[in-house]
Amino acid sequence: MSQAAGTLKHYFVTSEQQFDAAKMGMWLFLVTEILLFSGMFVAYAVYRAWHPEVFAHASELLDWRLGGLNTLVLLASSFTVALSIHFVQKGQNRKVVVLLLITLLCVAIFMVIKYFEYTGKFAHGIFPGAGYAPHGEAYAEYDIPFAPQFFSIYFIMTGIHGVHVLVGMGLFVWLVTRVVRGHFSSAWYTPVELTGLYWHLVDIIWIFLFPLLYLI
Amino acid sequence: MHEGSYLGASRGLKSWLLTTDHKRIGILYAVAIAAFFLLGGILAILVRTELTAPGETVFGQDQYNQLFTLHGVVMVFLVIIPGIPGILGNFVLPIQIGAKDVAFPRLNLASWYIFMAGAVLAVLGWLLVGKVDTGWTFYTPYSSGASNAVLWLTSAVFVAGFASIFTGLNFIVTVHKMRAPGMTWNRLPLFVWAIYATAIVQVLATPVIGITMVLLFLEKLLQIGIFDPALGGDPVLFQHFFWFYSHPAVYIMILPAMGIISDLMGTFSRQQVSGYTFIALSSVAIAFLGFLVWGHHMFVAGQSALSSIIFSMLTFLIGIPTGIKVFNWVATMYKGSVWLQTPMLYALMFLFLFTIGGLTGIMVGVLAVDVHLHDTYFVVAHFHYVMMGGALIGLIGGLHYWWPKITGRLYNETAGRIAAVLVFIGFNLTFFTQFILGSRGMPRRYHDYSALMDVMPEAAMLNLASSLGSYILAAGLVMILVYALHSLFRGKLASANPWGACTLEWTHTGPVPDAHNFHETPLVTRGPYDFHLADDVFGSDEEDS
Amino acid sequence: MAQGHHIIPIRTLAVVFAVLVALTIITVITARIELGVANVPLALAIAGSKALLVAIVFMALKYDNQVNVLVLSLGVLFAVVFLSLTLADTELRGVLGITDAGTTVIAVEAEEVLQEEPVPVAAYQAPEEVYQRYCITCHSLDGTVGVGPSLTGLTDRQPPDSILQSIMDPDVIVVSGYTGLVMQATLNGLGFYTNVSDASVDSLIAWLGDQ
Ligand SMILES: [Cu+2]
Repeated sequence: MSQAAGTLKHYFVTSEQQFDAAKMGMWLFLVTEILLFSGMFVAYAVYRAWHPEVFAHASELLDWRLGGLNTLVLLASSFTVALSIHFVQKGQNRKVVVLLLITLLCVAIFMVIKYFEYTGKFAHGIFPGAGYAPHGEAYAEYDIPFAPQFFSIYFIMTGIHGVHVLVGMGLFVWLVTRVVRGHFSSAWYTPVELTGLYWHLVDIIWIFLFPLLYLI
Repeated sequence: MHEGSYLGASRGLKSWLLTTDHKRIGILYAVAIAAFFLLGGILAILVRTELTAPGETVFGQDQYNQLFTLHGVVMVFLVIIPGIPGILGNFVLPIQIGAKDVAFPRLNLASWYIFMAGAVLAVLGWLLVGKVDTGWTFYTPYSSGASNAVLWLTSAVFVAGFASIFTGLNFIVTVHKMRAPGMTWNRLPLFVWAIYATAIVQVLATPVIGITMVLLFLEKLLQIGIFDPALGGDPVLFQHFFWFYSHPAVYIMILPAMGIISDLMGTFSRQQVSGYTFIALSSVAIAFLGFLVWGHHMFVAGQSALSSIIFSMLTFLIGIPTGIKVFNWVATMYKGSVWLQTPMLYALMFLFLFTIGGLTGIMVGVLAVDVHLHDTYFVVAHFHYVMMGGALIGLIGGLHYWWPKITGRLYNETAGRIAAVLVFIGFNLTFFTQFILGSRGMPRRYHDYSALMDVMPEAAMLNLASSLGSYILAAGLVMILVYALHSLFRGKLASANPWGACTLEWTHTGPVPDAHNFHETPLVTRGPYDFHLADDVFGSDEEDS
Repeated sequence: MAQGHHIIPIRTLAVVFAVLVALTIITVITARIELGVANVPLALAIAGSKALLVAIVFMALKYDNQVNVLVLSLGVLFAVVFLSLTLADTELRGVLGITDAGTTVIAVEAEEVLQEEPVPVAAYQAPEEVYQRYCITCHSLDGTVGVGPSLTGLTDRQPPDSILQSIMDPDVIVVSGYTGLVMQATLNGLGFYTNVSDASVDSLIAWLGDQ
């Protein structure tokens, strides 16, 4: 309780109130993220509905194995984050550090795979927007109207998602340093829990991106 | 200034720029927004000056397009949207619910800096890159084909949007989690209800303008072909994106003003605000309904006929909660003892102007009528009656009302009343004439209307009248600035509760609130307008006001 | 203060993780089987279930303050509003149209009417007539710029084939500085493509050459 008392800001009356406020603030922030992404989903839906055959065809260029692997990697990271919250609540901080490091590893794998996906596309002239000029075997046939729209949407959605992943990465590094320095206890661990919420949302977005872009 | 007051608590520029006190942050917003309002106002005067006579008078068409674009962007994104929540929401809301501060004070300060960063981006783009002439709506393909300055302005709107999001988020959590003991939901002042409803809209709608600006930015930078018809994109889709935010944004502008008016009606009628629950919940209803009507901006843009019909019908629904408010305000004054101080003059002005603005909104929401009125001065007049006659008049009224609490000083009441009359006359002369012009067919956004003179010779006279009105309006506003500055340095010291109001910021703080608002957390035992239970509170202050 | 916080058992977390992995595999497999129209809804349903699982257990909504559930629901609700009302436009453009005498008829009815009375082959119309009726609103013949470019000297700029394309399929090439889609929409609205015969269009192009 003493640690909790040290973190209580003067404008709150109780730690519980402070924790609830922080958590509600985080949920509201996540809602703004949902609506931010909703714009991209709307653009996807409109163009998919207008040109279903083009979108179905173009999505074959994306490798579902890599996408699927990334899905599993992200799910695993969500799992480790959930576990880290479990252990921080029990005050077992060594386990928390290990779990957060595993999470970081997952995040790194995700970004490395994403890197190879992107560069693989760039190498064959698959760029967002006017730079779209597919060339090379198996790519040239994708030089059709509205395929650029598909890939623009693909790059924007995964790109903005990727930015969120990078932000998450930074947050995890920051959390690890704080856990190591003994900032958290079973009485106060708000940053771990809030970062967890953020990370699960990043995961949820990807859960939708994967089938929409790679599978159907 | 007594010792513990938030103004005297610490001194120097740094103590202001690094403050996390919600009251000081409110003042930071006030200073910035006053500057932007001055800029937007000067641009408006320039626009009206060009239109004093048919034909080209002062500016060429390109300059004219740039002027009204900047006027729109500045007034919408840098003045009206952040105005009431930023200034009065920050200053008043936490005190009204008996909190020591907002839930996230540092985020609150960050919001102000983000807002300023957005403004700086807009100005930098304007000065260094070039001028934008797309109108404030950035419609594609105007915007995707315009100069690169569009990139700067869209970034500015994107950044400023985050300030709005964080302010809204902060207020929602504050209202949920920071209320004093006894401050139940049905004891919240109606201003708090309005800001709360506004905050919901800010949080839910603003991210969409964010992604819209990102997509527009990329459309221009990379030609992604989502919005640009030359690349297979759909310009009407851009309008969906834009208005999904920008119609709810109208409620970000008007709802807080409605909250101010509710408080003013109660205080200056010395009467329990009639239909308290209805007014409170109608704010929330407007916030939600406001999300369902955006397509009424696109009746002639080629959207599907079914959409137009749906959006038109839903638009009419907004009239219901709005009507509930208007009738309840009138009912509050009925049999109340109405005290015509300057803030109340603005409340009455709001009632008159906003009713006109709202009803003409229903008119342009009618499909068949809108086909004729779309892009005419009728629409210009309509939204100025709502945005200026509603939102800004509400802000000005609110600033007069809380001025003594913010500064600890009184302004000259006579000067206040004269300025209010000037504003009222100037405003109506400016914009009522535009209803006539628009309904007779004068299109908006033309710098030269000589072609109109054959069919509409009265256009010259009406435009001249409108321009003269804008000068009178400007004179009224400048007069407010002058007596406000005078009051700041020479004004009589105010008592703690000069209006005999009943909400916590008047009853439980000194003439100027302390740095942490209250000596001890108030225990709330009555509603915000229970004047009959609060005789002890304002009776004693009457003599020195 | 921690006593109020629910600690989710490791077992629960592990089960949820296993289910998530299983659902991922299922969605990959089902997507690779041709199910016709069912593929998309199925993939979305699986994604939705996964998202719900993450939200309820990993994000602990099940044990959380109800107001946070409300917050999330509102966010999702308005994302759906955005999506559905936008699609109500983009998917139905032109379905509910204005027909003669301003009567609005639902597309199905319109189709029925069309089936009963086959559209007669359009009679030949003189080029001046066609121009007056369908073109003059946007395209001048004296060089004045209107909604579209002026048609003076058109045949010097464009060969007849290309002019034909510009009329029949205006959005293939849009002259820079002008807005696409407008012409096709306008001509559609005026019934140009159904009421003007090929021969009339040919003579219109020839006639434009003389202007
Ligand atoms: Cu609107």
